[in-house]
Amino acid sequence: MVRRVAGEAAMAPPECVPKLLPCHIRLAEAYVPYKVYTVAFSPAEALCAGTVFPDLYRPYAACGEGGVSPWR
Amino acid sequence: MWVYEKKLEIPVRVSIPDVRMAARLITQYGGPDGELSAAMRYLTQRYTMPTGMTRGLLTDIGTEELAHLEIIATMVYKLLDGATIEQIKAAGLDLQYAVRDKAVFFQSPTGEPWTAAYIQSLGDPIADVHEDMAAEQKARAVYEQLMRLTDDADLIQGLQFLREREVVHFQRFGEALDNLQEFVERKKVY
Amino acid sequence: MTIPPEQMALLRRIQETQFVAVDLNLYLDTHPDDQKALCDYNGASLQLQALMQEYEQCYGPLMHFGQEASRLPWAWIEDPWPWDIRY
Repeated sequence: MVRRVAGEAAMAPPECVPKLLPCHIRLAEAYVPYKVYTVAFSPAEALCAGTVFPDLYRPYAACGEGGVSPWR
Repeated sequence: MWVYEKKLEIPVRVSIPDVRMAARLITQYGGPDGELSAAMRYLTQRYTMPTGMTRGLLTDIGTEELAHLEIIATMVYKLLDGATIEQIKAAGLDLQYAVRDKAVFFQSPTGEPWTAAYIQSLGDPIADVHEDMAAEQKARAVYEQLMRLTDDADLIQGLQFLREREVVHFQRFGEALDNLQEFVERKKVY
Repeated sequence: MTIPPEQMALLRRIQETQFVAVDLNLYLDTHPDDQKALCDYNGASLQLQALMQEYEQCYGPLMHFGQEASRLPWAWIEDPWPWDIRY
């Protein structure tokens, strides 16, 4: 399957990394961008983070009693 | 065939016993969006998946969810460890205690037993993978809700891990969805 | 139940190494042609096997159902069980 780099990558802020989208995007279908493996956390970091992939690391900030839901 | 490894996927710690938090955490053991639901959903959907990628991914994520089920059970077990009858009564959990002491069980925090009605295996791979992606988002949301209910830094560390796994699983299911959508599209070309 | 620091440290290394393998396993399921990922997975796998062998020799089996041999008495049923360990 041929893939191309998403066009917005060139204008993206430095912390964004190029993502791949399928060439043929069709209506009424959902797509999640692919990311090719480049860098990895160390094993110790990975176990703490919950993933080996730094760009999939999305820790939750509003922990603790009194943390607020972003929806309300 | 399943084989068990006599170790947890991660070290699980709690700072102090907390009966009420144990009762809340049970939702990720036997509740609608918990690890049992996830494991059973993926391990039963895999039989009717058409590609090696989706069969492999559902087998592997389903197996990892069983390991997460064990983590939740360990958290509950440690949160209840050493709790006195007075603490159990004070947390409003004496009715639960009357039924099954401190045993871990497949139910929601309000006592509804786990049911296969929480999951689905339609046999339509596209529908099934969308269900899986939704399940990962629901589990992520529940972990966030649970993290807002405690100040125990050790427990939060474990819940952060479990929440992050939902984020990663969602990404992988999304990639598998693309594989399935291309598979279906290719089958239309005669 | 507490375990000696050396056992805890080795168990931690096993968990870290295996977790890398687990996350790369899921990645390889959807990226079966990724050579770098496969190389790192195989590296983690070899390291994991060595660490587990070291752990079993000192502290008893981590696997059942024929994955590892045992001494007498049957070591599989001995403490500690994972949910009892004070990490």
